[in-house]
Amino acid sequence: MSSLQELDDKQVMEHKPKEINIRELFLVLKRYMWIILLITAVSTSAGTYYSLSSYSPLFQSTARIIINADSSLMSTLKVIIQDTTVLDKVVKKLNLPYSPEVLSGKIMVANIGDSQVVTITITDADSKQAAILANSVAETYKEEIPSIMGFNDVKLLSQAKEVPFPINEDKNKPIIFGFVGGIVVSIGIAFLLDSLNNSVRKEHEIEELLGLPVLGTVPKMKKTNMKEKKTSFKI
Amino acid sequence: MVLSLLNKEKAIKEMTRRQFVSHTYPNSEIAERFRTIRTNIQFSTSNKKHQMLMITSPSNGEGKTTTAVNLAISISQQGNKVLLIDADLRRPKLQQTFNLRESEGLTDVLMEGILLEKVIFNTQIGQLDVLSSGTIPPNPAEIIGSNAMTRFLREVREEYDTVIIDCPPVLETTETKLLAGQCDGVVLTVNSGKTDQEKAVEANRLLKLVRANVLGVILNERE
Repeated sequence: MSSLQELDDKQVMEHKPKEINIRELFLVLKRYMWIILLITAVSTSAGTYYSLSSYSPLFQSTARIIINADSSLMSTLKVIIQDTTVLDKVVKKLNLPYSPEVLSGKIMVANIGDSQVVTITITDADSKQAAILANSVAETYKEEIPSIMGFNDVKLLSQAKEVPFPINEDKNKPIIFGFVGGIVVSIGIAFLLDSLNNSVRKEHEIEELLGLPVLGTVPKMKKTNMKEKKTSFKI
Repeated sequence: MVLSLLNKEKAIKEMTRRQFVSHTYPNSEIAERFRTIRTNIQFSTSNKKHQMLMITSPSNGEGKTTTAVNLAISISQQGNKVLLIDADLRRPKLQQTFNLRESEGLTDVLMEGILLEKVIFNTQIGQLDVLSSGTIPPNPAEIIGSNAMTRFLREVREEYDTVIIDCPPVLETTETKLLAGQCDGVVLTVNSGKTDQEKAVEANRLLKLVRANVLGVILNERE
């Protein structure tokens, strides 16, 4: 019975090469399943480890001020917010452990549309600190700007509040990358190994290669094919 | 220590379960495959009554012993008197399979003239008798190639309906080639996905060279 089945297989193979190719690909994947699983597991856990060890959440907090000036003056006034003259005072006031230049790097200044409202956004690893810095920068700016520019019309619009949600949520990126990369690489390795494996696999291969008949095939012994076939007894 | 011992025992138990599948689960798919092989062998050999078959493979670990045991069981289930001989004097397997450790066997019969009846192990499976390899000698090729061996084979051939010899790999030893010419049929076991194509060709060439009657191939562990 099995030899008939094999004959069928052979005929199918000769007539429909494309479908069989896909089946072959799946067989290769199944054969090297353990390698694929192993490499994917390793790369995924490496990605997880990397993201857990390197991830630090960043928080933003925004203070709003109103600068009552026309657009040409506005840009000058905006630049001064990030200037060391103002920030030097903030560093001294809050007794910060870093230089005004570092603080300048944490600040983002922007207009809201064409309005006179200017936002001072601080990005920091500490959510509370971000709010304190934003408020302090806004206040110091308001205090200092008359002596720098002789300009008086700056008002505090709204205080910066602590925002407890980190802005960089994409910590899953390395994990996904590790997972997808692991699958791709391991499938590549599986096909490489398969192409390097020069062993006999099929009945007709053996018959062509050796000129000997195949007396029979024994499948891999599994629980399913070693047990009694109970269904065959039912009538 | 205890764990490894337990594992070893489990491994042996598992191996034994596999090797007797034709006996323990006669209705299983595997047993059915061995019955097919049995039929194919019986059709491809001349129709004489006392047959001597040899099971070998190109290299080690391709399923010779499992094939030999199951084939022997399968043939004995037909009511034949079967003798299974372990001719692998270097790495004997049958004594472990049938739990015959430290027992006397083939070499003792050949070298010390011990009577066959004394060393043969009668399994409770049909009329299947087993002869283990016995004491491991320093010169296996000389023993297998001796006149005593030829005489011994002639004797057992008369006594049994079928004699199955579990041989060492063709590519690694001389014994198999020496024995192959004396058997009615040689069955080559290859392992799907493990046996190298070139090795299979070379094994076949060597068997042809000693004018062995290679009946065919059993493809083992087919996916």
